Amino acid sequence: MREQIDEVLSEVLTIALGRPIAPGEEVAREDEPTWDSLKHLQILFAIEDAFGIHFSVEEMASAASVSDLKAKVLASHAA
Amino acid sequence: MRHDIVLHGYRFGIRPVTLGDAAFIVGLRTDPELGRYINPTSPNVADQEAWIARYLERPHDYYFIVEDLRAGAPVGAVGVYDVNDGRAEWGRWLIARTSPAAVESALLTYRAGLDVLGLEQVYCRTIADNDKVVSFHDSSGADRGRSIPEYAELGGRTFDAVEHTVDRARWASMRPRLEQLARRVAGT
Repeated sequence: MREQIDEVLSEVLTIALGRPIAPGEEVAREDEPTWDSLKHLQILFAIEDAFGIHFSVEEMASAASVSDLKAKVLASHAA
Repeated sequence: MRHDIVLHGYRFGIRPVTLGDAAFIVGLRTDPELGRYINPTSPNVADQEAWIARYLERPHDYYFIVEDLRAGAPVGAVGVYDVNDGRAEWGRWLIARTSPAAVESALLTYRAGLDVLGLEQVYCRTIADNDKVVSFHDSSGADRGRSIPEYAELGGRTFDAVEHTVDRARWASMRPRLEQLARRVAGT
């Protein structure tokens, strides 16, 4: 499951940020100049679609890194 | 200026700023991260009230509070100002870090400027170093135009600005995607 999550996050972020993001690579929103508020939503919704999960409004605002996104997917599937 | 433009979107809305919003605006503008690329703001609420009082008498200036319609709480501020010859600047755009209102507040601001006020074009000038906001405008589909050298001096440093413009044709092409994202944030 973790490998699948890494693969999907890599694919989603590579498309959204316009640079290669390796599976498992840690990326923080604050360090990425092009991870803007619009792309942030596109990233979240792509993850929702890929894993059949839902981010609350609070989670949308607080998700700040690949680790946060991965933790959300894992928690949703554990629930 | 005193205005009565109220727009409700899917999850967020905009309404006119009032004197009662002074404390909220001070909180936004003195947030170290949000306030990084704006002119320094007094932490004194009375100073902000005085600024709003002057703003209310100033023509061609529309200042809004962005509200979370479900929570009934303010989450940001935005303005359309310097209206002249069918054009206006939009800015003073600050959204609380705890809210995903950026996309819908931009959408509502374009609606206010281009649909309600009937402007032909709105433009936004962003400090070039403010890379996330510059990127937002690029991502939204706004037309990146000229660079404005030595646009502002903040904290003893001089910054260039990047100007993005949106005219009616551009707005028609941008709007569906912004609407789609705003709808999805609202879960509708």
